[in-house]
Amino acid sequence: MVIHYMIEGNTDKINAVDTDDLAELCQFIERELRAKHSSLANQPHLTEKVADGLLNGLAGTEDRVDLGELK
Amino acid sequence: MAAVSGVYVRSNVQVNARAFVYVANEISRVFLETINRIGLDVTQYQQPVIEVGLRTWVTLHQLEAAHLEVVDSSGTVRARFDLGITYSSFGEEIYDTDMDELHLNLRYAQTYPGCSYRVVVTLTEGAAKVKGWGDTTLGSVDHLKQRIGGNVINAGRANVSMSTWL
Repeated sequence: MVIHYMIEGNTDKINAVDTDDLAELCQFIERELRAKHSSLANQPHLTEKVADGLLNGLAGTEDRVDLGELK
Repeated sequence: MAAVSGVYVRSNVQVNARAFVYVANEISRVFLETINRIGLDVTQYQQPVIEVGLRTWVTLHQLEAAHLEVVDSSGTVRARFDLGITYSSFGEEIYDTDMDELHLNLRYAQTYPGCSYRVVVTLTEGAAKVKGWGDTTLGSVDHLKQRIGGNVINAGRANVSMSTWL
């Protein structure tokens, strides 16, 4: 599963682990984002942004998960 | 000849996501209906903050229970409405909120003029921090009687049962 997002005005993406477990998926994406972007390393509310983006993307009718702008 | 079906089959992870969105939204609906029933001001309900928290913690399976606590001006708990969450990794795709069961749970509740309310959650250890939420403890309900009800929200992958302290 490909997870799209924007950071500092640029689009980016990560390949997420293939799992049905949303908790595992959310935690994996959060870890990847924190490791990949130093500006997110200590972002205290990244979890809610990832969880919200995942739910919106997966619960909708489109096969695309976009977390939007991450600050 | 190839068979073509118009039915869109959702993946398991999509079913989980829809169930969790439903549960988070419906917990709010149940609380709002309860607040209305007991004569308190629904406009004080901080819906955006509450729902972001519920969505996050349900997604992570960190939400164990959500509580609607009613206190009087002295800080004494006059009533509490508890919603306990159970998660399942399987189950059919259903979305059902049992308003009859909710009203059955509320049959002994009074109105509470002059009281205020707040939403409190019980989370697993190390749960995510969510903007607008802070640490707190529930008030004592030792002087109240607990009544355990049935499921009020059924979403297959997550179900919610209600109990009251009145």
